[in-house]
Amino acid sequence: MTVEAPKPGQIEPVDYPTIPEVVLGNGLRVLVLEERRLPRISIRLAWPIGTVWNPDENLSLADLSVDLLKEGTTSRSSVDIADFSDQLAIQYGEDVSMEQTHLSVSVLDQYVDQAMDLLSDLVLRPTFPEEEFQKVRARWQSHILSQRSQPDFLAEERTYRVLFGDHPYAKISIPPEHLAQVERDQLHDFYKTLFGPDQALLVFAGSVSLEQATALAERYLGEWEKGEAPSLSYPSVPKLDRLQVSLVHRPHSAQAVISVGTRALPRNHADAIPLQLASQVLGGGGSSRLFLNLREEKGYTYGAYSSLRSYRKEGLLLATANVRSEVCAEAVQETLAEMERMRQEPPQANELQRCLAERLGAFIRGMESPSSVGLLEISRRLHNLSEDYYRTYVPKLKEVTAEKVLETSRAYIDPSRVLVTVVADREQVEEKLRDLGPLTVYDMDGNTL
Amino acid sequence: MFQIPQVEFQEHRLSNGLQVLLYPKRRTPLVHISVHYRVGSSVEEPGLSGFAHLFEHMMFQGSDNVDKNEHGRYVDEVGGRWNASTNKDRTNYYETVPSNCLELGLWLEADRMRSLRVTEANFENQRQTVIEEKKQSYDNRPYGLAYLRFDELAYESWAYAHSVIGSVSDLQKATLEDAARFHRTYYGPGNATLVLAGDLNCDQALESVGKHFADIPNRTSSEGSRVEEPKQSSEKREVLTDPLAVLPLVILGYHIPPIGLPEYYALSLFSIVLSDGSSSRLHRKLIYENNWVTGLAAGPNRYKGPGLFDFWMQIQDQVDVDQVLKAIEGELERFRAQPISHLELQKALNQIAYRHVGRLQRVSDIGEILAHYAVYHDDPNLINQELERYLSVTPESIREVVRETFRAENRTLLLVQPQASPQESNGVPGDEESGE
Repeated sequence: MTVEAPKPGQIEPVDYPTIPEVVLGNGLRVLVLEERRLPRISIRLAWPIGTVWNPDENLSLADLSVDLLKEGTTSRSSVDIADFSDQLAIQYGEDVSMEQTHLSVSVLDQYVDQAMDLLSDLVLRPTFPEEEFQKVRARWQSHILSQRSQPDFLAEERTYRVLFGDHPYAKISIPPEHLAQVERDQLHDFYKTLFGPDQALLVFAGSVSLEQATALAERYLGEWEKGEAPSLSYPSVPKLDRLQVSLVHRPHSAQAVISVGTRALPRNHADAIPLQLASQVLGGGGSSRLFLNLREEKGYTYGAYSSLRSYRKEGLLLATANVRSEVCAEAVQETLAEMERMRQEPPQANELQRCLAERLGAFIRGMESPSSVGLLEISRRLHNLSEDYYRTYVPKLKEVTAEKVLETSRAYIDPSRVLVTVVADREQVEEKLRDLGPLTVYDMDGNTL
Repeated sequence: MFQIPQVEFQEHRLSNGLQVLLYPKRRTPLVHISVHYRVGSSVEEPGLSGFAHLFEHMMFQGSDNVDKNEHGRYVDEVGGRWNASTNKDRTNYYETVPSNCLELGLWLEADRMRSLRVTEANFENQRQTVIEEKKQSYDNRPYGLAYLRFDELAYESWAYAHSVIGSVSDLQKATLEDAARFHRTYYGPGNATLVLAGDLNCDQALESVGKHFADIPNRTSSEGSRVEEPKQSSEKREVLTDPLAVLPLVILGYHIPPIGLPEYYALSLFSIVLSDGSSSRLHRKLIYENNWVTGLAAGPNRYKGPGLFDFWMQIQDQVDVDQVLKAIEGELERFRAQPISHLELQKALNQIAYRHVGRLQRVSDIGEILAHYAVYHDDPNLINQELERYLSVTPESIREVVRETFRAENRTLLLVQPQASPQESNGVPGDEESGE
């Protein structure tokens, strides 16, 4: 006898909050998400500036200049900064990505003044000491060396290089010679020119009121001088006109990392939400087509997924898996076949319903803490999404039909014009991969072989 | 000194032995459901390494009313998130779902606690999946083999010496009958803790738990394994080559008492002063001042039974490993000679308080740590009391445990070299069957 599963009710809607905002005289925007449940405050300063702002001749400036902020200010040495923040458990973090830079301090509320004092010191009065610069550079040299031993990193680097060509989005890794050539003054100038208050957001989340937060911001960042608002234009890059294969030869690999990528959409595009659902159908989570096919049916892999990555002007759809080397070509074929199936038939009603629920659930979990809501708000602004984007997100998801998913898949998921990237020991995979399409072999440093 | 809110939870026990912990807190309409079974790789017998984890995969392959992969699909269909994990001491299964799906989650967990229905084909498929998981997580990653090797070298006790993922040859030997037996032995309600955390009404939730779980018979439940580790009498050393690594790695381990004892709290605070953050003594010496090391982590391994205080250090190119080891010994000697300052102790306590508060934000985190205290300490209320244990540690008690722990004869050292140097190497990386 089979017992039926209990029927769930409707998912309760979650209201995206109205976030109070104050603009300081210098243009800094202060946002506050007050929640007094726990004695903790997280403070995040975010700029719409990232590694794409690096000049072509040196791709290390954004990462290193931000890394150096905590290595010395007019009143504190590197050692002082480490001692001060660790003593009070001020969790200082920095995150530089392609189009954003975040500095964050998170702290027990009893130490919020000290945390803001530290943050303002790093942002307003960094000195970029020469001696610390040498140390930071040496640490980055070993970091990029280690990075190159990771197969997932190599796959990602190659994918971006080929798909974005001359576009700044292609440059996601730092060449060793750039690190060798970079000078302290370049880092100082890069930071001072680009990281002003007028494009920045300062987001307080947790046990803090709007009044307190505004007073803290005024007191510690009010004197920050407005700079010139920088701008950046991107060249346009043609999309792939056929399937290409890049093989990165990594000797002694125990598996093959595969990644099938295609250019997709920025998040503010009208088709972005239908495309999210299409990607969910294809490879979002453990009930998706790629996972059920490559793992649960074939046993090729521990997991197969697809996901979207969105930037201000572009996006990517990537389908990835780490597979047994001997079935590498078959796994790629299955991935391409699942992409093709997206174009041939609309998702089943229950499949679409599940994918909709998955997106909704992720949205609700994203609102579980005030600081995670803060992250959503930062991304909303960075991607130029409408004021009501998150308030209308749920109805917009719900109105996507199976036909619309099919139409969107046909427009953006075309397996005859994708980049297949494989990181593996070439001996084990190359021959069969040649049957897929024109193939280029690279070494681990990116040179063609 | 810290104003930290208490976690007000309820504890119940069904007549079949199932421990039930309920933590009602509504912020978002979510509830976290988690079942922790007191079984991990430490119960495996020689020749069946990796089985507890392989079995974890079986729990998604079908039960009386739920087909292969349906568990995940049911949860996905309501927008939930699900997974499971196995370590040396326990296996957990969880889903975070919209709170109106609590009933569904309980039904799913109860069905696979009550029954297991796996076919030969599905068993075989998951065996392949786990072998690929091993390759992805260990064999194809720099230092993955060292990670698997270190406990083998440090522990005499098979229970903790062998890895959770197991050896491929052992995984090849596992059978469907083994799975049925494992379920009977270890997956009864008396061996489990069920935690519900989030948007729930305790009375209603308890009633639903009774409805789904109360009639599951309390099958023979095992005591689990009590791991005994003999005292180490001389230092152990091994050199291993890893063709995927680009820099050397040193792993050190010193035997320490089980989790939850006063020594554990003293060593946890000690590890913060020693190696957490840029102001820690080792970070300053090895990274900031000398740039000898590129990555550094140290602390208790958090096994339930006999533990290890591990050090992991990735060494810079061209740096003499002995010089690094001498520097560490020099720092340890300072701790032996002079108790840490009250300022340093306060720093460590601030860090502990901050981390504790950080884990009280999301219902999934609270649920998992409640279960952790129940399974590892037999005391879920430790979630509210553990800070007191840290506060009772003194600089002098840290010095005592440092003197007792960090002795050469209590030490295991594994050096991983990026290039093969045959005269030094006595481990053979890449051979998955070397575990026997």
